[in-house]
Amino acid sequence: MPHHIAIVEDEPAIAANYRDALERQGFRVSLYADRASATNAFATKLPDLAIIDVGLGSDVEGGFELCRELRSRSAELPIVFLTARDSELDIISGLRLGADDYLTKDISQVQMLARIVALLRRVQAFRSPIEKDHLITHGQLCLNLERMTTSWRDLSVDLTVTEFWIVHALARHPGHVKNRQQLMDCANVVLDDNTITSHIKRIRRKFQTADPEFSAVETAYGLGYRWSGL
Amino acid sequence: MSLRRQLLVVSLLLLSLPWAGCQFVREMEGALRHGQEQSLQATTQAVAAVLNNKPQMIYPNLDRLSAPLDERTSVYASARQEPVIVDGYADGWEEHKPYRYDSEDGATPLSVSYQAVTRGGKLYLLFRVSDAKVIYHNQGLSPEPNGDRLIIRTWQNNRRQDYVIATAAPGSVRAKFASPIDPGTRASSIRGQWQDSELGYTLELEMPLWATGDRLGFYIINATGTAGEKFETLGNITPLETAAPPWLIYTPQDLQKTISPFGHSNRALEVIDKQHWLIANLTTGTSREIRAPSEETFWLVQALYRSILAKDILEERPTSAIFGQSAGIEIDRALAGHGANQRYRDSDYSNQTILTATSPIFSNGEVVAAVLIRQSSEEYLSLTDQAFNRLLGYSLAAIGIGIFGLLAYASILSWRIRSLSLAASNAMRTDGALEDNFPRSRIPDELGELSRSYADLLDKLRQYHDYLRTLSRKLSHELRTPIAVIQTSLENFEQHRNKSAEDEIYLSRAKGGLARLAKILNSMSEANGLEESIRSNSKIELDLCPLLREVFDAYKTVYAQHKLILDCEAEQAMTVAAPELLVQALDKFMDNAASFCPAGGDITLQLKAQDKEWIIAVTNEGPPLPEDMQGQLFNSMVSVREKGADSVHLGLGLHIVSLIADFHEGQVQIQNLDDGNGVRCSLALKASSETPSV
Repeated sequence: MPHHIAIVEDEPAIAANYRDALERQGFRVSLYADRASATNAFATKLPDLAIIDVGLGSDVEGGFELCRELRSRSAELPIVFLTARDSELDIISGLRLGADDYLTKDISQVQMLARIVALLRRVQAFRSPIEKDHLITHGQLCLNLERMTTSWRDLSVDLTVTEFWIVHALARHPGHVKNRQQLMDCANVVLDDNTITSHIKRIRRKFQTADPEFSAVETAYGLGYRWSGL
Repeated sequence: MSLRRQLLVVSLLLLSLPWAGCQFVREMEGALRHGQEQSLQATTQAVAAVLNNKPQMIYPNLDRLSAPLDERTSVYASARQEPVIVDGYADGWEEHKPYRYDSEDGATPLSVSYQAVTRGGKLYLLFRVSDAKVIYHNQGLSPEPNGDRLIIRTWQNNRRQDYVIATAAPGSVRAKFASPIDPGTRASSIRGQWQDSELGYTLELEMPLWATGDRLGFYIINATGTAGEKFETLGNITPLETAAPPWLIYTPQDLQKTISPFGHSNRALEVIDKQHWLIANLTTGTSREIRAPSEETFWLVQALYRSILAKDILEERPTSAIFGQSAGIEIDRALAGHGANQRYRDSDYSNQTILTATSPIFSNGEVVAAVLIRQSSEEYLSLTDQAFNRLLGYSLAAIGIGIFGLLAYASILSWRIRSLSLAASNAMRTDGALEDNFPRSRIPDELGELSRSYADLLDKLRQYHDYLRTLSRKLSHELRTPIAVIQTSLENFEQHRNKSAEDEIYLSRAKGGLARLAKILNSMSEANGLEESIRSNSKIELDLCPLLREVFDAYKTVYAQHKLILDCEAEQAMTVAAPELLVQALDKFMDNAASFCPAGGDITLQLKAQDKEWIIAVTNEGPPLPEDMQGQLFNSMVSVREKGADSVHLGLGLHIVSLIADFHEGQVQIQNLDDGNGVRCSLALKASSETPSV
């Protein structure tokens, strides 16, 4: 049975385009133009994945509200924000509400599909037992590629998909410098340099809440970042 | 010129106050003088009124009033208060120019001078005779006086009465009759002292006034010593005259008594008869006291206003050639029947004046005499003194208050204007943003209005500025949706199977254009997020040397087509900074340098210490900057790159650097090299407390 993806988007053209693209990949897609219709539909059955725009028509923060509702009903449902709003504040508040990723609308379909697939696979992975070969361990770091979970010194670190991919790209070859472009490619995003910097900053902060001593993500000035070998 | 200085100049107009004050003082002086003239005139009229129709008071002998003018000199006896000691010496006699007769033929120098005073009904006479050879009366020669002698001729009962005074030796003398004796007279009532003097002899006589009959003539006889030789006579009469002797002019006691109530401590009252004789003089106190300047006011102030007042050039009071006579236009006028006023310059105090007023005294419609009152201008000037003093004080106070008030007001005004202009110049921050704390004045005047309208203007400007600042954010936000529509549509279109080659071309062109559009959008949102993303960095203590070496290694690989040089002599360069931002700034510098530097050119990365600061500089060979652009390069959206460059360039690079420098409280500079063959970008950072070690 194909996965059911709900797109809550007030711009019909974009919604239709995404639906076409996703249906081409074999997904079942439902479109909702506002929060009320989406809430009604989700009341009977939750989708497998929800793509939500933050601003829904006149309801400027409707996406956030919807995300909160969905998260309260299901902790595992993958929620992705897809929005034109790209300020740091919006990103942080979106992620704090429990969204799995926050994407701006100029993302390409390929990159979006990669996320959707990854997120759906993660849900799948949670339902099946942990397999050893999906685990990558580097010192204190432990990454589960299937479930896309991260732990540091056995403490869980909650990362978004983008962040997970960045950490993964860095940690796969400790000591190797990854420049920003490489990190963007690995994370399936097109972002400006500053956004990569702020992603790195968020990653460091998340690890540091688990371990204040954390310093594994190093800056290679002028080049990029690397995972320290320790 | 500042406002305060301008006002200081304007306040100089206040100096017209003292000028006006001087004018006022002059006017006042004029008024007071006029008043004094009036009062003096009134006093003279009062005195004249008392004496009107009483000619006998003025003229003891009324015949003198009608007598024709006598060619001969009258003996003038002034009234005297002090007693006279008759001792034959001139001591005790007032020093004034005595009447003097000189011998007409100069063979034997002979002269006589005399003075006369009256006191208590007695006449005192002093004769000083200069005679080379004094010959005393020789009783042996003849019983009649035969030596040097004095003849005094009086007029009694319309007859001459001659007395002779001669002596055999200096000492007490008595007169003897020298003519038929008139009954009722006694020669012995004329007595005196004869004393030798250096030049000749001195004779001092005392006689009752009644004995003179109001006429007095005298002559001295200078004996030659040899009999038969013609002797010389000298006096106001001659021996052979048969007419009455000249009038004796003296102050009648009644007159003195009558006018004495009019005496005043600081003015002189005189009665002058028709022949200009001063027949009564009421001068209480000495003349010095009358005219002494009042001591109540400060001498400098006095001198100041005297000099203000001294504008008229006055004559000195004329003096008559004959002692005892008075002269002056006012006296002439009074004797002609009109009262008059006259001002004279004080001969003792050149900046003071003397006021005189005269009135005629009538008797039976005829002018018989004149009353004159003399007073120094000090009398009323002492009033103006005080007035001037106060005026000076008041006007100084007024000027002081005025100037101080104006200056204070101007200070407040200029302070307000300055604070307004300061607020206006501070309203715009260095980065072009507008502060929202413009002080809005609540004072309801023009300046307050200006301040308020300025605040309104700034508010509107700030709103507009905010609108502009958020415009790109809004624009990128708004554009992102339609771009997403196009992008997703194109991507969907790409998935279609049956596409012609032509479709592919257009598709790729559309995607190319879209990619550029998206890049512009990204740059715009990057610019928006810049400040907050910079501020979110934290500063740490770090060493610049290893950081520079690290980035230099990285740059060597990135900018392979240029020749990179690292010039870092310092061993350790500690500062407090956010390393990511520093590297970002350096990236921009390097990017900038590399894009302007021709391939193979030198790019130098330099670190040096300068005045407790670390200077990180990137110098590149290449074309210099246009002169007019150097200051603006750090503003956003300014670029000196040529149009048509392949990459999208919004001129953000150096703007980011300046934001980063601001964040570190450092300075960023970009300048052409002195030789004009390159550009140097530098960033100055404060060294941390440790002194830079080079």
